[in-house]
Amino acid sequence: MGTTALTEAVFYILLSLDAPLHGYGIMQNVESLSGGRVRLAAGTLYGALATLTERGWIVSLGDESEGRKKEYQITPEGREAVRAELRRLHELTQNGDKLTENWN
Amino acid sequence: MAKDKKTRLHLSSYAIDPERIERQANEMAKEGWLLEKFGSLFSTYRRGAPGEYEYRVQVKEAGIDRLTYIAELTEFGIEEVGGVGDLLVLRKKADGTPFDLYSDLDSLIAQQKKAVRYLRAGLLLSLGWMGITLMNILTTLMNANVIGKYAGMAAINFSTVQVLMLTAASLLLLVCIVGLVDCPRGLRRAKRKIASLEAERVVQE
Repeated sequence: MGTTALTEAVFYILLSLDAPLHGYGIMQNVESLSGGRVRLAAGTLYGALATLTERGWIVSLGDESEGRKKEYQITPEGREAVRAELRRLHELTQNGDKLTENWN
Repeated sequence: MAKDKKTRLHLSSYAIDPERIERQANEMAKEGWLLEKFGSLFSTYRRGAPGEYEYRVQVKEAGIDRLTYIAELTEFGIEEVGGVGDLLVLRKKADGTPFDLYSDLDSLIAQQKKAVRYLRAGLLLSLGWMGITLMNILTTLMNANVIGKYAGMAAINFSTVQVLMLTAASLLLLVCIVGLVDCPRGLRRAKRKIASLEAERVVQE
């Protein structure tokens, strides 16, 4: 498992895939989760889906034939990547809070 | 009556430079000529409302099935116009919302790097074909006794087939020369863009 930071797009895609979703559904879910702030463009979304599938963090479900839309779901390895990212983000916010509380 | 359709022949170097294809398609669209088909040799435009469509060109991820990807893009209001290999020419009705294929710096950088690989392949292909074509021209000239003539041997004798071969080889040579001039230009442009995006990436996601 890598310890590098996940991009915002990858983090939200993984969070969205607790239940199976297809590409457009992921885009809508990410937009809703982020309160409209993050809107994934198609190239970014499908590039990330290909990379995450290759890493085994998500799997595509159902019919694998060409020209059919695919649904994706997170794997246990993907969940571990999300947990690792959350630990990193907690560390960031804790350190940030500690060092900036006396500012002003 | 004014023509409402036109077809343009384009050279190989144009067909592998994503930024040039995109720029030209959008410029033509603003003038009311909408790109309808795009292949390795020809582009077809149809007369329509100026600015009706916006065009984007991308080099597809190797791990994504082309047909599946195109089917999924329709949900985003995006349709395929054509392409060459993994290079896809896409369009979307201009509806006032931005038509971006990439929403973060990482994927923008990855896309530019793919464009660099495409242009490098184009440059190598141009060099390779130029070598083959020059050999072909030289062999044809030797067979027609052009070189022997200047060494005091028999007279020049071109057959019809040799004339046709020389014409085709000269055209191919022209395409290769254009590729050798254009591909490095596209490469420099893409590399400058990568450097600027990577500098931006150091401070923001």
